[in-house]
Amino acid sequence: MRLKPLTFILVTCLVATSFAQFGGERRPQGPGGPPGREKLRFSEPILQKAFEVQNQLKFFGVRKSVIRLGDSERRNTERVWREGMNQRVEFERGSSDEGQVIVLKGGQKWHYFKSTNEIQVKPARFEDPLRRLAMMLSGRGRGPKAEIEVADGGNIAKIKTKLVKVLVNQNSVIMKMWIDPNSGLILKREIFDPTGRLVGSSEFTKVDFSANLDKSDFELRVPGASIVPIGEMISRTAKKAGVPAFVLKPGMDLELDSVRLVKLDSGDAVFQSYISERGRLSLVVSKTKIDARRLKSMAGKNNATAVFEMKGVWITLITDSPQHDLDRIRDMIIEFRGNMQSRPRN
Amino acid sequence: MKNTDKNLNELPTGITEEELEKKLEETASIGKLVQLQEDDEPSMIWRASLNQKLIEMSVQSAPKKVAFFRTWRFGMVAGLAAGCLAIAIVLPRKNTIVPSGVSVPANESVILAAHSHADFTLGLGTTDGAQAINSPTSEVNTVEWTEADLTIL
Repeated sequence: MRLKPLTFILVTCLVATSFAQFGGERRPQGPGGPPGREKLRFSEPILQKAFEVQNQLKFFGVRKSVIRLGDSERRNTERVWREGMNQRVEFERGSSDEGQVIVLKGGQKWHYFKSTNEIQVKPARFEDPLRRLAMMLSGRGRGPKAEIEVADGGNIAKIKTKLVKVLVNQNSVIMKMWIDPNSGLILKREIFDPTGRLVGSSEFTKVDFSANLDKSDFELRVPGASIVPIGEMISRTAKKAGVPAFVLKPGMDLELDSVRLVKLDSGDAVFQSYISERGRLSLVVSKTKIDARRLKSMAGKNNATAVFEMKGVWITLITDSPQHDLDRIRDMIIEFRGNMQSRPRN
Repeated sequence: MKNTDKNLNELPTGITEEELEKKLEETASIGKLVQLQEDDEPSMIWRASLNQKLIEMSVQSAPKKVAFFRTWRFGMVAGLAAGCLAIAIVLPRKNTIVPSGVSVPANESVILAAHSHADFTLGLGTTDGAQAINSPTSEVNTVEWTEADLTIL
């Protein structure tokens, strides 16, 4: 079939427009809808480089990560394959998340759990750590305006680095990043809580920029594994917790990032995390009554909180963004009625 | 009185009482003069005026003391009343069971910790600590190649 020249031009324009709109990648369409992305601009050249090379990096590396929440700690040794916006992470034996595989491709995150033979599908987040940092530096967040200190960082994975310290309130370090000035790859990160306690870190111990990567490195095909989209995760976690599957109405700029159960004193609650250009928002649905005054005093002035009752359960909202109007968001909560069945993947 | 003081002051120093008596007897005229003098008692006027001042001062400070004690008493009564009210409010009603010696987990801190956790796992660019949804299944029946297997390639 031959296309007429005008038809050809029209089709080409349409394809180009679609490509430009989604950056060449399909954005996930979960509850909350995809947010727009504004271009970031950092005053520090090293941070600007780290942001700009996000979709150009190509390497294989081994990374050690530690996540410390309260008295629990998760330690992983991860093998990382990266090519542009595609990434594969496998968790080695002896790791807390041993056997799991995470593949980021096409703007989506495919998370495989060997123990339950399931693949959870969620939006991918590559640039958001830097986006969050940009917000803190601009002072648009609810917390104090962050500042940057750059110094030599020594060698990480045998690569000479620049150390970027993120400080608030003049001398309180909340994050450290060791960046390779040549490639722009963030080789090491450390995150601290307000009291200076290390709550999370990740560090590459080996990086090979000349590694040969294969197309199949970014495939995740497990015959018989059930695919669990994020909408279904909401339905099923809500069912487990015995609460309605409340979500934020699709179409808002807040995009659902993760769903999980949290244990409260009289049962489980559904914890949902949303992201927008303006910051992060958490939505918690629980049968347990939450003390609004206590939550507010514990959250401090860096977070806004709201607690209210809806259809016999308690809804808690927490945000670190001064631009999130919790009264308006409250009116955007709806009951999600998605597919409750997981589908086996062909 | 002043004259006596003056006379006494004019006596040579270092003279004892006995020597003085002797001298007085020797000079009868002076002795007579002395005998004619009335018994002088030490003046207590300064002491009286001091006492007067002390009395005045104590009279002035007395109302303050009273006011202080009144305030203190009022505070004590108010404190007791507040304590009783607090106990009445806090005390469990009938048929309400309050576990003793059991620390209540702070649900609010659990929720805040989850909020922070979501924040910093994103900042690290690693796994977000997602949990499996399905029930654990028996080991997936797959073929896993070992390094030894691959050497035959």
